[in-house]
Amino acid sequence: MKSALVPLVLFLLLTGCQREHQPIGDYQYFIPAVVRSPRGSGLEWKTRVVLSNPSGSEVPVRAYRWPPAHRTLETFDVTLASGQTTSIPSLVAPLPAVSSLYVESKQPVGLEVLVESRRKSDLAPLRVPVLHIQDLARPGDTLRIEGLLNDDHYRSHYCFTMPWTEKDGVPYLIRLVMTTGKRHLLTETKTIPGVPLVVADPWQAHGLPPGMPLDLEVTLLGSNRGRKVVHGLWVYGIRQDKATGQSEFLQTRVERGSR
Amino acid sequence: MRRFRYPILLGLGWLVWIWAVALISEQVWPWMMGPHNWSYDVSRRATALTRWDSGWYVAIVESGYQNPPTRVAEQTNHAFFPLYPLIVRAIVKATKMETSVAGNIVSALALLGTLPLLAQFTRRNFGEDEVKPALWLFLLFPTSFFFASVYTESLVLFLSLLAVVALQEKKPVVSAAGAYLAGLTRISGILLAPYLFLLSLEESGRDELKKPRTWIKALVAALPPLAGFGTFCLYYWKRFGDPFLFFTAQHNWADAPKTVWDGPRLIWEAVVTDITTGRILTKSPARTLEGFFFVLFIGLSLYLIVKKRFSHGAYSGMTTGIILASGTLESTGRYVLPAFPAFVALSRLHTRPILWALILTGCAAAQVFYVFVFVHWLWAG
Repeated sequence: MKSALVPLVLFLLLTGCQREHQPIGDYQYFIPAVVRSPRGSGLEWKTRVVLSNPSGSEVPVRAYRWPPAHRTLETFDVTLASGQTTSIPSLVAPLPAVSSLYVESKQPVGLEVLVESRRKSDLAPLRVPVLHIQDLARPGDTLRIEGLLNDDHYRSHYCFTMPWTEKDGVPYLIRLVMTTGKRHLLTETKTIPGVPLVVADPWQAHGLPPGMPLDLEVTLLGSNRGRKVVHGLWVYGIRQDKATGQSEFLQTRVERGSR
Repeated sequence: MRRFRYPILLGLGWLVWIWAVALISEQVWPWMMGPHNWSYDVSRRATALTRWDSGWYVAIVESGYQNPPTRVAEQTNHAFFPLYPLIVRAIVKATKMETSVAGNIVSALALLGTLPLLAQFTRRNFGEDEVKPALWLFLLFPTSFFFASVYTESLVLFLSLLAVVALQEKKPVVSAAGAYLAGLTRISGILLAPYLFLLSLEESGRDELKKPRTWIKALVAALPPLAGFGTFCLYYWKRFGDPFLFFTAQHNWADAPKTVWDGPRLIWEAVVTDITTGRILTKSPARTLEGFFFVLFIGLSLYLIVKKRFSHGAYSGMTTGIILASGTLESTGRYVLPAFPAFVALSRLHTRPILWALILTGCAAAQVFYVFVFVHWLWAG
């Protein structure tokens, strides 16, 4: 009877084993927000991701979309000649989903990411911060965003995001703290799904009175599936001027608790 | 040990068959995939036999129970029992295996435990000649693929059969353990309470019915499934402050407010509409088959009662009848799966070889069809 268990144990172990992600180079960038609204959908945003090679030699680059518009579109490979500029096709899941991009290369590359309006040509593009993968929160780290507003002038939202490689570690367990000024409003321990998640109206989502300025603190506790966290989590906040439609990223600060 | 070999080998062969059908189905006509609202993260890694309600179990395994619902039509995972996701979670944590694979393995192992028990149950209650036909019918029944899917059907059946067989073999502790865990697995596990009560009385014999001890013994046999469900309610009470959260979640699952008493009326209205508009033939064969399964299993339950198999007939009838509370017949094919005595009753048709061959062939063909539409997100079951 014991011998009958051997194949089962082997099967369980083999199924559990997974090859770790091997980056193609030492330079790894994370673009926390990439959005796309299909034409004719009534939504206006599109993202332009411009990739350039300032070095004197050609550079292979691989970008990972998370989540992509289709299973076959998860990765995008390109080899940039010296001085060449190209763009990464925005083949990501359409709005209201948001996606992220994770880019690897063997040498430093230039990355410029702009979210543009299809309707308003006078609206300045929203420049998306390009992070280094080490910037992401690891288990024990805390991300802080201040100044989420929802009043006569501004509306704000925030988003949990992670790169493609984290698909095996998600969902994450996080601790979320909301404050206004120095006043504590709530503390929640919750899981977040395995794809970027927008909290479009934080006041409604957390049952808080509208109009109150909010500061957000998110601590990554770890993988809720008991797996290794490969890269980690990022949270960004966006504040939009209601009158002009102009948006800006709020600063996300990282407090390292993992070291 | 030799007696276990046939059911287990048959079960292993069936698992190979059903997975082959599912994996081939997934590759055939991928453009036919129906819409669903699973996140890309989950849908890309879920196995072919992880669809529809499997997603709720995967979510409970990975994230636990969510915040309680606040309104009607807010569907939450409190409508799902905890034992199956708990076992899957333990395997995921121990092996780092993908959640849906772990769910499929738990279901498969529970099925492999179920088949020898079903053989034993059939042998004891209906005779050796009925064992093989019952096993074949059970595995080839059109909706039996749920036994390999990320669903609780195989686990609840394993625990229910364990409770029943152990009771008949005078192993009350094993019976109580199986029944208690069945009450933590699925709503049909609770129906073991009246089943074990009646079965205990039957096992005691007519002459013993006048003794209070016989009735106390039957009551004690009936308590564990209720205790299992009670434990579930206590957990909800402690965690969310509402011991009846399961019922609240079930109630809020519907699009509009309704009670369990509205269920039969809604089903009747749907049946009348389908018949009078001709949709019974044209709208969806799977939907029509659900009505057929309901009538068939109610008929089989009555047959068992007429044959004086009261406890088996009552349990099969209750397991089938519970669908009436839901307000739709659309999951009948899955709800009848724990009604194992009814399967044995139906398998008695094996004495008519041509009819029996037609039944098994038809069932196998329907099973392939069901797996295809399930894998393609076209039918929820």
